[in-house]
Amino acid sequence: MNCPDCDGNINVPADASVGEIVSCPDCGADFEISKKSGSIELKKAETVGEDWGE
Amino acid sequence: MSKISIVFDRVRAEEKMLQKEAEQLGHDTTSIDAKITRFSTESKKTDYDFGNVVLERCVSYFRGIHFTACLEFLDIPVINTFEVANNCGNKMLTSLLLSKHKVPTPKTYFSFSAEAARENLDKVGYPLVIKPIIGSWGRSVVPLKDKDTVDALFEIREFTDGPHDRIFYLQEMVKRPPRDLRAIIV
Ligand SMILES: Nc1ncnc2c1ncn2[C@@H]1O[C@H](COP(=O)(O)OP(=O)(O)OP(=O)(O)O)[C@@H](O)[C@H]1O
Ligand SMILES: [Mg+2]
Ligand SMILES: [Zn+2]
Repeated sequence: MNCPDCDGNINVPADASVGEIVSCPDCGADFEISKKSGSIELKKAETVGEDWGE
Repeated sequence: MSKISIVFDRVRAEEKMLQKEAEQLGHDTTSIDAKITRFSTESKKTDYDFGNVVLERCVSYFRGIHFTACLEFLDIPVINTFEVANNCGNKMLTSLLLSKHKVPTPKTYFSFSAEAARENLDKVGYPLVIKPIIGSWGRSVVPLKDKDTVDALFEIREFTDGPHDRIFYLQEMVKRPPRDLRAIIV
């Protein structure tokens, strides 16, 4: 798929699931794999929040 | 066999492993994106398909705990419960509970303004460790070894001025080897 920011080529693995993060090898931007009306698209990933943890 | 839902905001290796493991144990398992789920005061359990139990796995603590409140409103069992997440997600509440139930814990001092925090430091002396009451991965956990560090840090807190910057959690410095020590209390 193409990077929404720089048009670089982002490889989305076949076994990837919705909600996973992929990075653009060209510009480094992170995207979340999402599904909209059946088709896969790349959504800008959320940035690390103050309340993030595990 | 039961139906399990895993609520996520970002799928990491852990969420995939949990899903795989649950399926191997024969449980019907689905993943649900917290970011695209909606609730209301009119919501009913039957409007959703969360199954018998939900694992709340959001990376964002606030998102997770509010999502949990909605699920519990619908009488859906959630791991962790709102009460557990609330107590364990807030270092001050955790420290108070540990102490109250006589579980040994480092001496910790609480105050609610920079001024009172300085008084704490003057009384107890250096070094003390300051921590944001909500946070993870050791972020902004800082040893306060002298007045200069305190001045710098308190000034930053004044600028950021987030709701949690008014809560000062100061803890005695625990002597430890140069590696991470973790105690899990069940
Ligand atoms: N009182 C203390 N004395 C000495 N070192 C400390 C003290 N408190 C914390 N630390 C060090 O800082 C690390 C992070 O502290 P703590 O676990 O309180 O923060 P956290 O943000 O909740 O991190 P995590 O996400 O790993 O739970 C600890 O693992 C330990 O190495
Ligand atoms: Mg922690
Ligand atoms: Zn790019």
